[in-house]
Amino acid sequence: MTVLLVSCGSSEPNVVVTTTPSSGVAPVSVTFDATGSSDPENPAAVLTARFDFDGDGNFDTEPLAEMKATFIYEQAGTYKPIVEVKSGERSGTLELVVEAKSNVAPTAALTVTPPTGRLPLAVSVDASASADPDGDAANLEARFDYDSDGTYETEFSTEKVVSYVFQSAGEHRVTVEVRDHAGATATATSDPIVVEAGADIDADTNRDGRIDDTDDEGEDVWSIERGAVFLANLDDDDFDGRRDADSATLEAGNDLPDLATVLIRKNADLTSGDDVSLTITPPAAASNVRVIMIAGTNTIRTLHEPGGAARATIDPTLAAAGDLTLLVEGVSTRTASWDGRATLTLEMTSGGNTLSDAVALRVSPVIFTDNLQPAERLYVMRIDDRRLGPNLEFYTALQQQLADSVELYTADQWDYLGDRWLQDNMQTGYQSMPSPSGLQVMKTHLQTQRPTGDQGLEPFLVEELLGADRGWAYPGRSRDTSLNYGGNLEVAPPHEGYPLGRVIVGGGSGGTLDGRPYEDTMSEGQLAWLNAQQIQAPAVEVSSEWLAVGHIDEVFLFIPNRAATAGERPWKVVFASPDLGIELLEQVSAAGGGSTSVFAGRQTQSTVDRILSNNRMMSYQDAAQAKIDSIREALMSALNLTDDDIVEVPVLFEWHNFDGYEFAAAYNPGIQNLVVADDVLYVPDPEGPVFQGSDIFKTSSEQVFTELGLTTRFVDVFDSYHLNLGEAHCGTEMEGAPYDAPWWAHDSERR
Amino acid sequence: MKKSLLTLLFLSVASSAFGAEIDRVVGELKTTDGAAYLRARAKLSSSLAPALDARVAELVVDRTNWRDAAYLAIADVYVHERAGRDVVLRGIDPHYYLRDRVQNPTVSSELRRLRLPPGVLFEMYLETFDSYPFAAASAYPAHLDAPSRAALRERERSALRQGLIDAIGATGHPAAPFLLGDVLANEGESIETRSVAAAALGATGAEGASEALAQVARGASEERLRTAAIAGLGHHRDDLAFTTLRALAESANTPATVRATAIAGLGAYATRSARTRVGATKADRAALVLVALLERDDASAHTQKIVEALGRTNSPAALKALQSIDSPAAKRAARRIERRMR
Repeated sequence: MTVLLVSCGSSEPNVVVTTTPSSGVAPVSVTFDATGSSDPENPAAVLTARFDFDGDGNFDTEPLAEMKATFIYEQAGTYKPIVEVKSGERSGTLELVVEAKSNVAPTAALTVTPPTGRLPLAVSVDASASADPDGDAANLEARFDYDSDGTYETEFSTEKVVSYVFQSAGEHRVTVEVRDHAGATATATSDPIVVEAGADIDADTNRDGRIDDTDDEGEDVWSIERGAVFLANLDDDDFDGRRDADSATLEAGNDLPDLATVLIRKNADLTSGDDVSLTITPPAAASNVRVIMIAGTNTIRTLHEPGGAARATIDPTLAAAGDLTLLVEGVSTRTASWDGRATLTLEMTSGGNTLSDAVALRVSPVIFTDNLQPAERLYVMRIDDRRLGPNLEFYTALQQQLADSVELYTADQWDYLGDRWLQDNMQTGYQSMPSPSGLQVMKTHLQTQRPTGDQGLEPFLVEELLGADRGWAYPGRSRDTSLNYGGNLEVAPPHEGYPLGRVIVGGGSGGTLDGRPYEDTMSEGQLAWLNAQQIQAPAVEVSSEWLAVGHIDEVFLFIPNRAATAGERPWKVVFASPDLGIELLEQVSAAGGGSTSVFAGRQTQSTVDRILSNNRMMSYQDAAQAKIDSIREALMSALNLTDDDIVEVPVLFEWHNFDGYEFAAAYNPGIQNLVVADDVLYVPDPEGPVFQGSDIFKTSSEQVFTELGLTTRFVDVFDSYHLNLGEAHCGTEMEGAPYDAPWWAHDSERR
Repeated sequence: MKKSLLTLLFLSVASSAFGAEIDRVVGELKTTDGAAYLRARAKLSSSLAPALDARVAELVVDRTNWRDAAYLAIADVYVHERAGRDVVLRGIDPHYYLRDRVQNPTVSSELRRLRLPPGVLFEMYLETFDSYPFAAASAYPAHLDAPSRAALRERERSALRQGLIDAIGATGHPAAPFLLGDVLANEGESIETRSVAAAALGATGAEGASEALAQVARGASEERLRTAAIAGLGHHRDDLAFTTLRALAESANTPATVRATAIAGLGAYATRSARTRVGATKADRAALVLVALLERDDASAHTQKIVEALGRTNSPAALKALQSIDSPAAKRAARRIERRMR
């Protein structure tokens, strides 16, 4: 409220003061503003004002040039403050009136609806009828004590209508406390709310890592928004050499965090003659999920064993004695015949009445990381024995140059008899679910269909790597082909529609490069398993059957683009380019370097002109480029890429005769078949022609990578990998950090 | 002057004697095997070099005497002590190939890269194949049983045979096309080896090769062999190759897989590298056949193959023709050609 008072004297300044407000409920803060005052005799004079707030004759401020002051009247009463305005030696005063009223406490009102019902009972708690006689009711704050035990479960807020779910049977009362702006309070307690016993099963439906009252809503349907999550328990926390899911008991060690918790709420009305059961559906879930029950401190029982009866009975006296904890684990990942969904339905039958409640859960997919994810661990084999084909140049380069943040994991040469193809044997990935401390991650690697037995890497993952929080999944052996190997499985980094990337595999029926009919694909079983994970599916299949090994990494790879500007895609696809290779050779030849060696010093060295004059070789490059262009088009279409998203490096191809067919393989070490370790690329040394002091293949590719903000480190793979139909990428597997984005927020139903 | 005449007379007699000797030794090489072959080979010495070189220079190789040429090449290896006689190939050594990614024995790439003298390859194929130092039984992993080892050994032999065929074709030796033609026609040989011979024969570009290939391409009942011959025609690039490929590609009655290979063969015929070697006109005519196929309903199942085949070319005529066609496939093919022309 604003009050304007004017005092006029013949030789005194005019005193004009606004008081805001002039009255209010104590404590009230009042601002006095005398800036409207003036001196008619000397309009240019500088005025000051001083204030006596309580009117006791003693001014409480010095003369103030700003002519404003604020005072808080703590106690109720009527005050007569005085304002004096001075102009030089002349002054005028004005007496005002301020009224500080006594606060009137608010009144509290509370209703709870419905007043009765079965567990779990969701109610609306309404304190909106509370009032403030001397203020605005909308400004009242309220807090609630749902069990009237004197401890308020909420903080004060202006929200006066809230929801609550009663989780225990019996008679309950709710208390509300309302508070006005002056701090005066009032409380109200509801009439009794009668909650009858019922069936109540809860899980972490809202995925916040805890089970509480907020989880009841929509708990029986799994969707992107809601639904509990569990893991396929495929690691080995007790280090017994078996995956934890492969035994029916709760494992020692740190197994517990790998199991999802579900609670059966206590029903004190149950007696020994009643029936309590838990049913798991659909049948595929019953075949793939284990449920372990914990009651009290000393009862642990496997309630549901995979493949066992879908319905399990529970001792009603246990359910009457207290909450029962269920621990849920998958014994399998999602598969083509199981989409990972499981519904647990609790039924309680007492006195002929059956009560039921259900929760929906879904097992995590196995998610594979792409080359943009922070590098965590690089798998490689160290081979120094001549009989196994040493790779020390390559290994040592990685050992000496890999950043400290990346662990170099070395596979033993004798344990796996020199089987150096770490890329082929597995594809690193993970599962995750919410936990109280954040994401519970279980590294879960795909064991590809590559049956080497004990003559190769087949035991590496399933025996050596298996351990705490690191497990494996295997789709089973269906059809043997090298197209099943990990080098034929890459992940396109996140892009529109695929926030956690998309799986790319090779295969098809396009025939060999000379046009002869030939078909090969990843086995239907492994591909179906990949697609069953859904989040990175459906896999894009591009032609690779024309290649000697049949792997897409013989042709392209995804690499970071650290030089990307805002809005630009942060990654590129690097393609092998025979055209570029020929172009560079032709440039050297035209400049007089036709006799320059390629693969200098190697037993199989050649020269620039010898390559260029080989008709069949040149024709083969054209065929390879045409096929690569087809792959490029297919990838651009599937991933919505443009030409700007693609870079090229010089790679020539040659043919290998297998069983009367010609299959293509890199002639020079395939530059694109590289290792991405964050911003550093370990690139196969192409051993191209060194002309005028530099290797033109190296120079060309290093320029491409440098422009992307990446560091290039060439590594020698010629004898150790290249001549065995592989390169740097083929001989390694990089384990990346899990994606920050939780998969369940993106697990599209349409896929 | 008198002395010089005597010298010439001596040289003439000696040359004639060496000529007879080389003829006799090469004749023995051709007609013997095993220990007798090795005894004959041991008679080859550097003293026979002039006579051998003269025989090689004067021989016009044809269907009737190509074996003579091949054995002269073998003799050349020992007379001139060429390197590579004792080559051991890692691609068929189980120590190596069982460590590679597909664990398939293969030596085609290795032999091409080694660029062995033709005589070494002819000898390995014609005479000493069985005595090649294949790996000892101890070289195989211990867990393999006898049948598994035998199967691997058979694959190694097959790989060596195919590798030799492929490498002989790449030598450019005048006897090579005839040897390859024999292998192609030999029904006692495996389909796989005959298929390799077909591709290699086509790549020689030799006169007469396309007749043999065209015959198999038109009439072979075995699809693998038939398509290999068609692929060989794509490499060959003479008029007969073109007409045969065109007929197979244009006929709706051609089996789909065979037709697809013929389309790819036309692509090889019209390929960018061919353009600089066989001439723009020839390359263009194959490219234009492909463009025409792109518009034919009965070839619609092969659209991808046609686009890919056109993508091997840099034919301005094909590009112009494609730009007048309003279809997504034509646009794709045009983009491919434009890309190759950049």
